Amino acid sequence: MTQSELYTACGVVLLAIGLIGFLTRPDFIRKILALNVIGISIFMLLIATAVFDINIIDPVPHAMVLTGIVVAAAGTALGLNLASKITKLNKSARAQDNLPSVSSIKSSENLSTENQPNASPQNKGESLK
Amino acid sequence: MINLELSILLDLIIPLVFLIPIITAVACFVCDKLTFNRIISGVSAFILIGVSLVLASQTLQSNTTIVVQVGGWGAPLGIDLRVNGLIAVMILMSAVISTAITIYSMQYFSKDAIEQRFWPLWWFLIAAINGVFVSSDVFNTYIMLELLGLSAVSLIALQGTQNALNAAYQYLLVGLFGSLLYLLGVAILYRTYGVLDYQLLSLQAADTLNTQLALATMTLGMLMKCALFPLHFWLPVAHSNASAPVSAILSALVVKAAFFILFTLWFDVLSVVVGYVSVTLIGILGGIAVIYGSYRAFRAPRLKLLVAFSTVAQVGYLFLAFPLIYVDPELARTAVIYLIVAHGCAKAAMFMAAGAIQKALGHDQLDLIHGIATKFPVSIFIFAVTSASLIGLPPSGGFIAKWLLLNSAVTSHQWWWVLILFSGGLFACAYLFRVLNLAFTTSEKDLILDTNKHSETKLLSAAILSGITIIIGLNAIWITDLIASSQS
Repeated sequence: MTQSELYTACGVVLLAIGLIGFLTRPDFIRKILALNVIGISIFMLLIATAVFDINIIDPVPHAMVLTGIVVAAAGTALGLNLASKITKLNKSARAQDNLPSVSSIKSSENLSTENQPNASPQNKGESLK
Repeated sequence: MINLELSILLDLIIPLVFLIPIITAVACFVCDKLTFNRIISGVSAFILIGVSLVLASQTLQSNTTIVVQVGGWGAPLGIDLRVNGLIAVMILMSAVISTAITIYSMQYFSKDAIEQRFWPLWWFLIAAINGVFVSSDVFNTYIMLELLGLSAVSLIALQGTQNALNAAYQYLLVGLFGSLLYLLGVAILYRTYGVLDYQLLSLQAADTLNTQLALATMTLGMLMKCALFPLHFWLPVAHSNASAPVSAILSALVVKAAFFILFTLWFDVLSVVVGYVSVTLIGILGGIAVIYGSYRAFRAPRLKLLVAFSTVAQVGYLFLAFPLIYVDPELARTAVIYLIVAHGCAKAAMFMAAGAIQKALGHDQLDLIHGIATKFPVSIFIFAVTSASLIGLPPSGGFIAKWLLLNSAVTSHQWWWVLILFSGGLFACAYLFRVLNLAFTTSEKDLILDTNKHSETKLLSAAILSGITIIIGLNAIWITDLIASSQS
């Protein structure tokens, strides 16, 4: 087994792990981590093509992976920021209402119907700081 | 023939459709004076229209594809940008719609704190949309997709309510996952062919398992972003909880950008692996989307949710065209272009009108909007005109698009799509007349209006957009000839 094939095999295994994590785990942080694992697995698949001879190395996959890492970092930052904002809003809503949290991402189809004119006055004024 | 000077000019102009929005975004980010942001946004929007008019007139007249090698590197190593007739129409549409929404948002936010953060993200989003259209390289398209997704998510989250944040988070997950699936396809293509450029790929692509796998993963990723029927779950929540200008651009342009990528991949770049079974499968999903989206729109409790579900249904029509394009490319392609432009203008104007109603009432519950036609004559007028286009009543652009689709379904001997086209139009009547019906009935109790926020002057640009949906229907023969000649 050559080095390139080893990298490819690792990439495929990582892809499977990432997919399972993303599709089965419900919580915020795990989903973002799983997306990162999927991203890294695709980068591995790309990097594995760079060497087709010890002397000839293709620079294009490196450029793609570098760009991809930057994009993944930006996406992760945005996702974590949103997750922390949602948790904070949930906490303040629970403290005010003494009600259980309503922020299950699964029931989001119904979320839109919750936006009654007078249902959540405490959320109306809060903007993303 | 394009002479030498003109070709140099065009080489400079094509990058501008991406550079102008990026520069404006950075300028808006650096300078926090709201008046400055508004002025520079207005100026850039109109420059963008001018640039896209030049591009459209050049490519549509001369039938050429203009390719620009960025930095002079050339295809295998460098990145190419290209503009042909179809892309020029898309860029022109995006410029006109984004200008209309830009003018609308100057008055919509009315000096909210949100507006400070709105402008840079807004221009990044427009840059990404134009970038998707001009990019001629599968990896460059991925970068544009990510820029598109990230700025769209941030724009939804700007609204700041709990629903908007949850919708934004879900949209982020769907968007990132969709882009990663696309990137997986790019990786497979690069491993197989060693090139990324659209043109080189289409020359080398062969009907192998690798190519099929790549197209399958890329399609799955883009279907998530387009919100085709089983993968539409995020769209109504995201589009109905964002602020009105953001909803308008999400429905009018962002969904179309993902569709455009899919369209290019299926019928330009990797067309060798596309078979009758796969296009029919996509067509069936599109048909279900038309029926299901219309049904959900009919049952929607809120105005913006209704408009958002209508987007799910209208996206279904775009995919309904796939089996038709496969058999009869000319006619159905023109129909798709028409449908994209007509739906883009109509849906943007409709969301702007819905936004004006929501802003003044403080809500958009359909149970409580009895008799708003007297208070919001302009909004309801725009809603009615754009409804005509969405339903497909003559002489609107939507009518021409559906007419071309019907024609193409008959000439390609696939009559069963005609049934869906007709019933889709009926369902669209049902849910759109539901709103108009409520708006014109007299209410038992008085409407409570926030008089500070009740102003319909901001709807001028929406009225112009709804006018465009009618105008493109009146000039149909001229426009279809122009589009058809630029494809050959």
